[in-house]
Amino acid sequence: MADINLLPQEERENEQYSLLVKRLQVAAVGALVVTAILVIITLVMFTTFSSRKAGFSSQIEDLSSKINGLKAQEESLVVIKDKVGNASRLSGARVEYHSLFNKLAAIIPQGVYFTDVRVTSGKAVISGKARSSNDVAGLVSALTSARGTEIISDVSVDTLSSDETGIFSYVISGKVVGD
Amino acid sequence: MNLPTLSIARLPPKIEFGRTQLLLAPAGAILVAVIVLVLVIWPKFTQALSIRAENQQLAVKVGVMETKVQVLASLDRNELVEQLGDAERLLPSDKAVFSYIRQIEAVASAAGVILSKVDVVPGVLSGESAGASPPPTAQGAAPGGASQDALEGAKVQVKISLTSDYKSLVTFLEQIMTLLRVSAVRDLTIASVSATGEVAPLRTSMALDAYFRPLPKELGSIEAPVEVLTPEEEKILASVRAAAISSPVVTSSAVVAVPTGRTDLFAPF
Repeated sequence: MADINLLPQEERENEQYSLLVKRLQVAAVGALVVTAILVIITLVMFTTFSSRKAGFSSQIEDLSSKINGLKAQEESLVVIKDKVGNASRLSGARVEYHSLFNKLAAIIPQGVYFTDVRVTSGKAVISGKARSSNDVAGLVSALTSARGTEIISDVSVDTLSSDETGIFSYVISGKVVGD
Repeated sequence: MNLPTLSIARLPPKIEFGRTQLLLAPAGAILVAVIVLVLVIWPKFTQALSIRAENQQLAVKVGVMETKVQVLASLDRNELVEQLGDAERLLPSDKAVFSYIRQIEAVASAAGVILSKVDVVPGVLSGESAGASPPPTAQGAAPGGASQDALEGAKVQVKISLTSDYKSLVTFLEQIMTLLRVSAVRDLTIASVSATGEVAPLRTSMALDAYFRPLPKELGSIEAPVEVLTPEEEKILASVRAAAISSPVVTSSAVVAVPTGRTDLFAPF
């Protein structure tokens, strides 16, 4: 059998309204409590972080004055480091011609000698004489070998001629490695 | 039964105003809570978070500065002065042309070559106008350091001509490289004057780039970390000191004192 609601319509509305008011009150109290908790948390966070910041600032001031007291050492160290570092880089980047000549002397054929060597802006032009065409071939082969390419690259024979005695004159050019 | 037929005016709902009053208080409280949340809590919370982020940066800064203080305090001032002198021998702060020419002459004499010509255009002798170094960065030489192009500007070029045999020339080239001051050989020309197939003296001309590095004008920021010398750099300085002690004439950067005073400014020697 269906329930029969005997409460009058008005009474029911009042009851619903009271329920709504109660719920709203609970929500308001909840909102106020949550707000209060958040205020406290934010305040604690803010105070903690601010005090830490103040601590760091005073530490930085203290350390700054210590560093200023050690300025002479810092200046010296910076200058030394700067000079030695650059000197090391420059020394590493330069061409050591004595070493280059020693390496060259070790690989070129015995029937070959140089009459003129010019190195300008990294480009080398070598003029010389050779006892025979085989010696010239040996020279070119030496310069284009693995050991030769450590000294000179992009080798080209610019001129090659022989005279009535069979002596060959040559001009070879290339790029000095590392210059 | 006779019921009155007169219509009675219906009373308006008497609790309407009271009802609204009951709603106002919780609604107002919620509104206040929202306003406090939006206008007070959220800005302060974000501010607190930004302070926290700042603190993290400050903590790193403090750590770096503490390390810097420890590093600087551990350095021996006298040792630094000596190392500074050695570094100055490697790369002088100014052009130091005359001491370099003197070094070339000493090397030529030691190697057994005849120095026939020395040609140099020193220009303004102060190093600052020739190629001021950028302020050093603590990150080195990238920190440290200057680029090759920047360094190429800080040099003085000395052109020399010399006559020698092959062995002396190679010795000269080797000793020039072992000079304390960093220098490099450029534009080398070697010509043999032999016409008859006999071994003849070599005539050589070359340009020597002698590098220098002006002192930095300003230090990095106070919180910038300092870099200590690497073992390789300490080794270089130690070798410079050893060479300076073993051959003071060749490596001396000082200009030799000469007698001064003349009565006739135009009289020959």
